[in-house]
Amino acid sequence: MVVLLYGKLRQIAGERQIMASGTSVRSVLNDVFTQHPWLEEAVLMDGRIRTHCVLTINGQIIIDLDTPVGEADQIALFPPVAGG
Amino acid sequence: MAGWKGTILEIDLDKHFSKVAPLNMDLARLFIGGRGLGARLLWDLVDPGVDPLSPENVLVFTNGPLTATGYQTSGRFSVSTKSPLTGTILDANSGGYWGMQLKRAGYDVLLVRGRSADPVWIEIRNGEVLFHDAGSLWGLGVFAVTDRLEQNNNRRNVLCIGPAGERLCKIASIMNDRERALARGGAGAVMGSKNLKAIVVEGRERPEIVDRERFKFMLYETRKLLSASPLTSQVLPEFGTVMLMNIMNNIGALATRNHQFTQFEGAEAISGEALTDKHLVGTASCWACPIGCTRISRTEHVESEGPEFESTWAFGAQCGIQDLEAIIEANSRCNDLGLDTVSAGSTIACAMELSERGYLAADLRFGQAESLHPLLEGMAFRNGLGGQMSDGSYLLAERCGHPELSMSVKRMELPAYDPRGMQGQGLLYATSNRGGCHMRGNMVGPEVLGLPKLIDRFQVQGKSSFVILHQNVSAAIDSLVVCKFTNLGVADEYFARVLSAVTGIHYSTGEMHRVGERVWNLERLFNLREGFSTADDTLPPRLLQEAPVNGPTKGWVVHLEPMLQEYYRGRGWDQNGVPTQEKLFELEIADLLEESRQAWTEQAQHPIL
Repeated sequence: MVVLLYGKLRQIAGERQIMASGTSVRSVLNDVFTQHPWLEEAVLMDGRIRTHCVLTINGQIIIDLDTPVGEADQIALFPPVAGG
Repeated sequence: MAGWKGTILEIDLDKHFSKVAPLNMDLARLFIGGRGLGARLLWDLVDPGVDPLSPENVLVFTNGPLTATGYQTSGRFSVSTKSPLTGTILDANSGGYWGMQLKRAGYDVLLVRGRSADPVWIEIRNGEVLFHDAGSLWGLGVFAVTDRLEQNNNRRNVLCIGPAGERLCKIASIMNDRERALARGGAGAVMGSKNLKAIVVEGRERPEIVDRERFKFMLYETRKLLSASPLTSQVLPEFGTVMLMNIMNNIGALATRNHQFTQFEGAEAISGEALTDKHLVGTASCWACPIGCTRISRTEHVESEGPEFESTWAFGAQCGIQDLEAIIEANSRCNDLGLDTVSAGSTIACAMELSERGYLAADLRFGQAESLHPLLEGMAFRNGLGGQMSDGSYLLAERCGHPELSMSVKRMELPAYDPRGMQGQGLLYATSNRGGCHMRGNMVGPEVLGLPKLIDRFQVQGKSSFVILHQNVSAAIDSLVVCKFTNLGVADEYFARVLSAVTGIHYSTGEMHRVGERVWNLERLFNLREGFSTADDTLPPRLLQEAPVNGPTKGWVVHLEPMLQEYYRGRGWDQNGVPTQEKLFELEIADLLEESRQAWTEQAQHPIL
């Protein structure tokens, strides 16, 4: 499935999107981190999504890494953002 | 007296006369400065029913007790007036250097009354107030005026209006330090109505600080916290506010094509990432600000501050335009003409929809980047098609017979966050005292970004308590005055501590929140006195009735009514949205209630707009 990256995460990976596979958010992220190890540090802390990072599946904000996903789903990973 | 200078500089433009009056320190303690103090002074100075563009309206420029102390982001200042766009109470605040300079000149408040017979500019220097003929400046843009009046960031600062303010456009801004804006609600038109082109300030005084050692410690603590927060130390300095574009689009909360849609296919092309990759040539910061969120962008034709997220959205997704160069240039042009970018962009979007539906005789279509420049010129100079848009989207849409197509609250154009994907944001817009605005508190923090904690953005029940807290904190921060971005790294508690160190008056965190609540209730009373009611606490029909047909917010409208009733109860107001006597007594402003009751009964019969 497609994993979209934004902001600093895009700079770290050097790509806008990554193809990854898995049946849960956790397993997809593990695949992403295998391809780009530095991303793990930027996205996870103590096994959870870092404070202020946002992960969405098809535009819905998810915090549970065990949420199931399918091949047609789209995951987006955002680093901390702020503004007004 | 510490923190405050204890002085109001009053300028009477009828007589070209000035005097210095003492600041009522009881009011200063209760309302602090900035937005709060401005609102309290406005209550006494502007009678109900006054035409905002008449000499009877006033401009109240205020700084706060922290201003010019060197505390982080304390360069901000505020202007309060009755808005020509909304008819409500208005304050707008801005960064840069001008507010710091006003304090250094020795004043907490600059009050401008009346109307000059001829165009004038004012110079405040070394304790003197000089009135100069502005005949040669009238008609010039903001950039030229700022240069002519010899702006010097640390020594001499220029605040002025552009052609839009001169022509009383109801979406005209006041600009300071070249590209900083007191943007929303048409304060620029009020300044234009007074024939006042510019105010230049020079000052050398330093504010007194009661507990200097404690203050130094607070500076150190604040610096440490801002450095530790990824938001204030990395995100805002590196990418600025436009980074919000992609995330708001991804979750289906990016208002698009006059709020007809909640996602924009061109979001990536106008995102913070695109701006940084293609156009960023530098960054800048306001006085005493270590964050430095300002972008300096360059195109083939301009090099300019910004654009911020809201401006990029207004000329971008809202108008269906994905030409980032055109957006940067439109933002810069607005700064020079003295136009509010959010209202200008959203008014053009409204015109595009009116035209596409055949309600406006024009060949205007979404996505026409080439239309921006001539429309903005027309808006500011009141000519051509743009001239029909000079007073904002509501009057334009009303003249076309379709006021429901104005995406505004109390006639002020809404910002980028589509509330169908953020229920709390919908309540916040509907209850905002100055109209459709995200600076009266912003639920994007808790509803999307997890600041400070993530809550369910679609949840309705219980949302009002978050909205009330955010509104109160926002009002308190606007009254200090510091930048709201500071609050991303520094908890409210620190503001209370630094305020106590500077003034010698003990403020607890609870008292800071109470100041915010007091300001909010006072602003509510002002609007009630002007004839506003619960009927005005609403949203455009589209947001209440038309659900997106696809995307992450598919099927959602704003469920306002249940949130509103909960909100009134939570505020301690009656079912008519009127603050109860008990609440006002608790907030130490009960004396204002009876006065307002008499006036709003009369005003309800004769609204000014």
